[in-house]
Amino acid sequence: MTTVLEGRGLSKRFGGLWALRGVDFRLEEGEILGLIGPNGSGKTTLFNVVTGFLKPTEGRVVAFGEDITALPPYKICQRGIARTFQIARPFSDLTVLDNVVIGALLRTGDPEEAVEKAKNILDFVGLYRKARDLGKNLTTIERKHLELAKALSTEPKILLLDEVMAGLKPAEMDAILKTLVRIRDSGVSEIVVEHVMRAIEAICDRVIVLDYGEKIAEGKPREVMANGKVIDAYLGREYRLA
Amino acid sequence: MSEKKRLKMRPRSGWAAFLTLIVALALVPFLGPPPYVTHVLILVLLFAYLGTAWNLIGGYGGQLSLGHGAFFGLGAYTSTLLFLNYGLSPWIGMAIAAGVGAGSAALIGYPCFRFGLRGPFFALATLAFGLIVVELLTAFREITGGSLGIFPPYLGNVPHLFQFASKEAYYMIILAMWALIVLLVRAMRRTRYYLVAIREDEEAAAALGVPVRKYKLLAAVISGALSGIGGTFYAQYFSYINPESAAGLALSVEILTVAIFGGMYGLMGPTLGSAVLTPISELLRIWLGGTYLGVHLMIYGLLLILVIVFMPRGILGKLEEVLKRELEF
Repeated sequence: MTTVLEGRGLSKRFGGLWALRGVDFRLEEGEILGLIGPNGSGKTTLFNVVTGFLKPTEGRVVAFGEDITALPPYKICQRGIARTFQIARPFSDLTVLDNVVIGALLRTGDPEEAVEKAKNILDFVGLYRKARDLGKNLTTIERKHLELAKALSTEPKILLLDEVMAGLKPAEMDAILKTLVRIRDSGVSEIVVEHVMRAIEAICDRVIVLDYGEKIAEGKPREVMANGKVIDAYLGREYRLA
Repeated sequence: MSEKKRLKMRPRSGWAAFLTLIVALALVPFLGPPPYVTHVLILVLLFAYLGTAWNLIGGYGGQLSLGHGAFFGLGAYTSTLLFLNYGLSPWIGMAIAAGVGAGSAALIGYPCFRFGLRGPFFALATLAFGLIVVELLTAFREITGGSLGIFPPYLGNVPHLFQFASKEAYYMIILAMWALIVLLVRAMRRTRYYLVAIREDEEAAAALGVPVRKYKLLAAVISGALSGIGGTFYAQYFSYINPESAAGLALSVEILTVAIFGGMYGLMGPTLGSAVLTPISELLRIWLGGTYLGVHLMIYGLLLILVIVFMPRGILGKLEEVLKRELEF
């Protein structure tokens, strides 16, 4: 297996607070890596550091063997690393189709081709019947699907998904889980930030756990969830059994 | 299985309508209109042209420029001074005016975009830039003639020096300029998509690989160049320029007004805006300007307020809403 994305000693300080501290991680090709941790543990900060929206205070980000730490977000996207935002950010006055066309234009200068590609992606994530609606008129769930469609439209090799399943009903979650596995099977490596443990267990090959900006555990989903430190981080020490 | 089939293709009828409009407008001089009608039509097309240029950065890009009068005025002065001092044909001066317009747009645009001046701050920076240009044009009176302006000599009908005896010739030129700018902006499809994404959400655009700063600068520079070209036309047609009328704030406001009034989210918005507003403004000025000084501006202002309150997407947006279809082509 080859490593496609790697964080080396990533730290990010906001004033006196270390949002990330010495985090190392590796994403292998064709893998779905879960990123979990309590609220405020640094998951979104890690995404922001990897995708260039924040510069790390210390550490390097390496993608496909090249250092991408100093690159601006658009260049990181051009290199095949796409992300979704935890709070969906549709272009609200544009149609759903145009939202996706903008991403598709990254790989083709021909708008007609981009439109065709965008239609295929909307079909893939099940948003096709909303193609003519404005971004602002979508429901929360549809916005999450649109986030995914926009990220896919840039033809990423690595996809970073920030809580795409929050607030979904079990049936809706199953649908999106299937989609994520299909995306992985098409050759895209993924990092998934999620609170829903059932989802993590179902699709992740490995999981890393953050707490107060530090990595406290790493391994297979079941092992990690049985890890004492992880239970402490989520539930507090007093809940620990035996 | 797939629901893809249901989406209809974008209507293509707009293209035929645009060609018909150009042919119809090109035939107008042959009907022998009174000179004043030709004059108003020239102004309509000039402001349609300028509004379309402004719309690139102001409408699509969402960066509200209050300084386009400066790019326009610098273009007007560039070709006029080059002609007066060096005998350079204004046709060539027009190309240099484009360069000056582009350069001055880069001069104000680059620092604004580099340091993230957005929204009202960008508007204020461009406003200040416009005021500075007017002051400079006034202050360097040995070169520019100061606040009195410049009267290039009238040489009669000399096409190679961009001087014509008939209004109809100027009309055909501005008609061609307008048609070309519409086609140019229409051809910039990827750029327009990117600019609109930038207007909506810069970070979300960057996350999709859009080089935000580069495209903002590109739009500002092209818009500035096109405005400079418009300035040369204006100087040749009126044969008189002064700092206030060729570069002043009133001009900047008029340019963005036709765009916002007509609908700044569409290709033909500024043209629609100019087609409605320019004649109204001219007629009001003639009917009321002499007897009730300033009343025409009050009525003009009232119209603007009504449109912005009831049609925030302009006339074009309202039309699209009523017709339930996009009027793009």
